[in-house]
This record gives sequence, C-alpha cells and structure tokens, in this order.
Amino acid sequence: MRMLQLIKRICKQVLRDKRTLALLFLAPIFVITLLNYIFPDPDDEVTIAAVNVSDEVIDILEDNDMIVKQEKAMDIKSYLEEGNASAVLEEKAGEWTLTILNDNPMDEGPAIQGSSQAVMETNLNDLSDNIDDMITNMEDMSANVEDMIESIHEMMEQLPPEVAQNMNINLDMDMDDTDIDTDIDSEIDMDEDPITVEYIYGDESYTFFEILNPILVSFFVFFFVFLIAGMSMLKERSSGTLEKLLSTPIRKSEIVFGYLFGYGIFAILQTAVIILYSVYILDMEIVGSITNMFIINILLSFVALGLGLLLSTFVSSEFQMIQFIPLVIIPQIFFSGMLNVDTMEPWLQWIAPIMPLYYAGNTMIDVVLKGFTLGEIIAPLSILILFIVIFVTLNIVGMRRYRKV
Amino acid sequence: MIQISNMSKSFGKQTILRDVSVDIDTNQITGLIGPSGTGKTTLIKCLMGMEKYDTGSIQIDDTAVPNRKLLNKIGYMAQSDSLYHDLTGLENIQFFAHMYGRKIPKKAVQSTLDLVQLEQHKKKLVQHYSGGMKRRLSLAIALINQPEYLILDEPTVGIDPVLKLNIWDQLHDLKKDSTLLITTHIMDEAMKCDQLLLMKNKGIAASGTPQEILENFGVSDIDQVFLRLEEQEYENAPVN
Ligand SMILES: Nc1ncnc2c1ncn2[C@@H]1O[C@H](COP(=O)(O)OP(=O)(O)O)[C@@H](O)[C@H]1O
Ligand SMILES: [Mg+2]
Repeated sequence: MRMLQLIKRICKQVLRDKRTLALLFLAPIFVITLLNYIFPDPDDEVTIAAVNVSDEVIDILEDNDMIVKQEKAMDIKSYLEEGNASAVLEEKAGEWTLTILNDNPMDEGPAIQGSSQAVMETNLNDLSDNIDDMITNMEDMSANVEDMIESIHEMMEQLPPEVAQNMNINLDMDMDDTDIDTDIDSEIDMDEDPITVEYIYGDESYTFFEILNPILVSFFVFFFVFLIAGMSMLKERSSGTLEKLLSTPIRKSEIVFGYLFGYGIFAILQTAVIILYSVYILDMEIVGSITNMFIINILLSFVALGLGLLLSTFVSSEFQMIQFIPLVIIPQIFFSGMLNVDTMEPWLQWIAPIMPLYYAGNTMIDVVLKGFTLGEIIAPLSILILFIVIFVTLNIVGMRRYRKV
Repeated sequence: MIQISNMSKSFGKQTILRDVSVDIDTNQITGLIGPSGTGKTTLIKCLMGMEKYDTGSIQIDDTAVPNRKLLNKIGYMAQSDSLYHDLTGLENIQFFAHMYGRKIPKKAVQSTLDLVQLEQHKKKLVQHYSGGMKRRLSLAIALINQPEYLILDEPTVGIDPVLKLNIWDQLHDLKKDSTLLITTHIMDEAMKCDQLLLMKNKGIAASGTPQEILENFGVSDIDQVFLRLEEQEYENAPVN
C-alpha cells in the first residue's frame, strides 16, 4: 500500500521530468546509433598503394577486395598523411615493405593482413613454380638417361662379339626401371588462400560493432539506471523529503523496494527500448533468444538501481555523484567482455568477479553471439541476483542513518 | 505524555545535550526556546527516533523511543521544508497522507488546506510556492494524520505576521486533541506557549509557564531571561 503510493509518486515525478525521460530513452538510442555508423564496415574496401609491385601480387590484392593504386616511388609519409591510401606496399630486391601511419588500427589492420597474405601467396606460387621446374628437369634427366642406355646398346652391338661378352655388362636391365617415377603430383592447388579461417560463432561479416553491441546494450542499461536512481535518491535526501518520509511509520524496506520497483519500471522500459531498437532497427544479429537478453538486462538494471541508491548515500551533491562514474562505471567496461579477462594481470583477474558488468556483458555475448540457452547462463544470472540482494540489504541498513528503527 | 530522563547526546566529541530530564504534559503547547545551535533540533530528532541518544531514556505514552509504530501518532514538521518540488501542494499532502497507511478523508485534507490558506494554490507545483507557502504546506502535512503529538521545528519562520497570529490561534485550537511541542528562537513567540523550556548550556536551564519564568528572573521579557542566564554563567565561571 505505502510502497504502491511511493511507486506512483516516482512514476509521476519521472514522467514530469522531460530531461530524465530523454536521458533514459533518447540518450542510449542516440549513442548506439552513432556507434553503429562510426565503426567501419568490414565490407568497405581498403586502399593500398603499390610501388614496384608485380602484377601477380596486385591481382591477389584485388581478389581480396582491396583497391590497389599503382604508384611510382614517392614520399610515403606525406602520401599517407594526405589520406591517399591506408598503406604503401613496396618491393625492393625481393624485400617487401608495408608502410602504415600507425594512427588508425581500424583501417590498417585489414591493410596489413591483406598485403601479407598477398605476398605470402605469391611466394607460395613461386615455390610451386620452382617445384614444377624441378619436376620438368627431372623428367628431362630421366629421358636423357634412357637415351644414353639406348645408345650404349647400339654401341655394344657394333663391337666385336667377344669383346662384348668379356665386358659382360648386364645391360638387360628392365628399361622400365630406369623410368624414374616423375609423375609427381604437381597439381597441388596453389590458388587457395594460404589459411582458411573458420568461424565457430557467426561469420566473417561480423563488424566490431556487432560484437560490441550486446555489451553496449548492457552498459547503457547499467549506466543510465545507476545515474538516475542515484541522482533521485540524492535529491530525496538533500531536499529533506527522505527524512520527512522516515518521520512517518513507513518501513525502511518499503522505501528501498518502492524505489527499486518505481525506477525498475523505467529501467525495464529502457531495456526494452534499447534491445528492440538494436535488434529491429540496427539489425543486431542475435543467435540466442531475445527473452534471455531481457532477463540479463533487467537483472542488471536492478543491480544498477541498488548500487546507485547505495552510492548516493555517500555523496552530498550531484557533482560528487558524477565523480563516481570514473571510479565505478568506466572500469567495468574493460571487464565487460570487450577484452579477454583470462589474459589480464592476475590481480585484475581477481577484480573482474566483483563487477556486475563482467557477468552481464559476457553473458550477453554468450546469448547474442553464441546462442547460449537459459540453462547455460544460470550461473552468472544467479550472481547478478546475489548482487541485488546485497545492495538492497545494504540500502535498508544504510537508512538507519535517518531513523533508528 | 513525553518523558525524557537523563538523556545525553553528543556528536563525536561535541556534547550537545547533557543529562536532560523533562516531562512534557498533554493537551498544551510546550515551547522549546533557545538561541540557534543550542540543540533544539537535536532534541526533537532524538524524540522522533531519527537520532540515537547516547544515555538515558525517552518514553512517549510509556513506549520507549525509538519505535516505528509510535510515529503513527506523531505529526512532524522539520526545520527545513521537506517537500517534493515537482509535485503540486495537493499531491504532496496526499502522498504523505498515504504514508500513514490509513484512509484519510477528503474533508480532512480540505480542512487542513483551508487552515493554512493554501486552498487556491493547491494545484500549483511546489517549486512555484513562496517560502511562506512552503512552510504552511509543511505544517498542513504535519497535521494531516490528526496526530496526538505535534512536533514542529521552527514552524513560523518566514510566515507573515498576520498569518502567524492566525496559525497560533489554530495551534491553540488543536490543544483539545493534541500535545504540541514547538521550537523557536523568536522570543516573542514564547509568550504564546503554555509551558516553556529554555535551552542553554547543553540542557534545559529554566522551565515553567512564561509568567512564572519572568517572575523568577524579575524581568519583563524572555530576551532578558537569556541575558540573565548569560550573566549567571559568567559569575559562576572560575576567576582566572
Ligand atoms: N549530524 C550532526 N553532526 C554533528 N554535529 C551536529 C549534527 N547535527 C547538529 N550538530 C551540531 O549540534 C549543535 C546543535 O544543533 P541543532 O540541534 O540543529 O541546534 P538548534 O536546532 O537549536 O539550532 C550545533 O552545534 C550543530 O553544529
Ligand atoms: Mg534547529
């Protein structure tokens, strides 16, 4: 009853506050859309300038969807600075050099990969050509040997019979034996890529954004809910209304749960908007079920609510709330599945498990890209629930500051 | 009946209240008077169970404070306006009314609004209220659950003189059903109280009806009582 009234009041306040509404619903959509277009599409072609490079290599580069500009020797630095190409590939006396500016890993990665592949392929082609030559030589050689034997036979026939018998050379070898087996299979298919890349999850057409997007969805849910819950609780405290509220017989738990569910409604709506927008408007590919995405993010939003409410008790101004962002929010991004935690420093690996986004982000990747089912993600979900329980408890205990019972 | 006995309260090393013992009788207005910073608000917060007192005891109707259920019969008005600025006056009243968990009749809401003369402003957002209007709304909210005990921390600050007189009349009307404890640092309001508790030096320095106190100190107004208390303190201080 009291809790319902509290929820009603929160809804009324949020709906009247157009800025908060915009922050909740428009800001994440704006940022996600922006990111979708900021990251280069892997289907976009990379331009490489070729200096003194054989046609063969250029053909391979072009086969690999690169735009090749043939250039004469030039000042590579200024050429690249002017943005004429992502990289310059050069051959000098059998030495290959690829020059890049090294200021944009997004463009240069594919340029490096493509060129080294092309160079490798031509080298392999050369090798197979050499092998072919060798085989031809050997065939010639064996033919020569056969000819020689033939002529020796002829010679012997012209010798006087007694001499021939004394020499007693056994030339009655089976002529077939001399036919060295030169049928080497020279038909090894050299036209294929030196390495075939197999994708276990998804395929080559995944953009960086598509891997990042599930994490971003969770990040925005976490960030905006944290901020709004924290700010509103801060306002409630600094305006004295929390104290006034606690002068009524309301239970401290009713306040915490009222806040949790009141802002929870908006958190759920926000989650829905972000997910549906990513999936249906930005065409985010999801292998797993959208329901699981909802479960993860709704749990995460309650964690964010709990954490926001809790941290707001340690601050006395909006600015101090903002100061928590680089401390509490930003570090979580690095552990949210964008980077591999297993290869981090051991002490960082210890930090990861205390971060809610570590569970949410990685589980989102599991669901969205790998199609994990609910059963497979039950462990991280339980940990998120544990976070909620801990934060709610701490919030109720923290209310003791304003009333002792 | 509020009974405070041997109650002490300190914040860290700073002692605010030392060994306070006082009984506050029912159905009258008790004024807690004292200069700023003497611990009036602190005493009230201890009464409400918002601050923990260190030693002694506080009982309201024989129930020990702090007790959540006790808050059902207390109406509290904080020293600072504790209002939701993004809600209207009426919405503020209705919200806090619901916090008492029982049906509060529309008529009661209406009559409290009339009492504080906010009827024609009830649909306005509180952020557009003047200081005095906010004070009156806070008072209305404190009255909304028809409490047995009304604890008001500086209720008349920022309210114009005519309305102030009006409110004091209303407070005297409330005595029939309620016990009122009102703090103020405005000395001329003291004369309107039935009982006075003069706060000085971490405790209650004098108590009684306003007339008794004036006679005891042989002065003509409350301001002079505080001057006398100051002098006494000076005389009693060790000579150095
Ligand atoms: N939460 C607190 N922490 C520390 N000191 C406090 C706190 N609240 C009040 N005080 C101090 O207690 C003293 C009495 O304050 P208060 O009860 O507000 O006085 P009054 O209401 O009589 O003006 C002041 O010196 C104030 O600084
Ligand atoms: Mg005060």
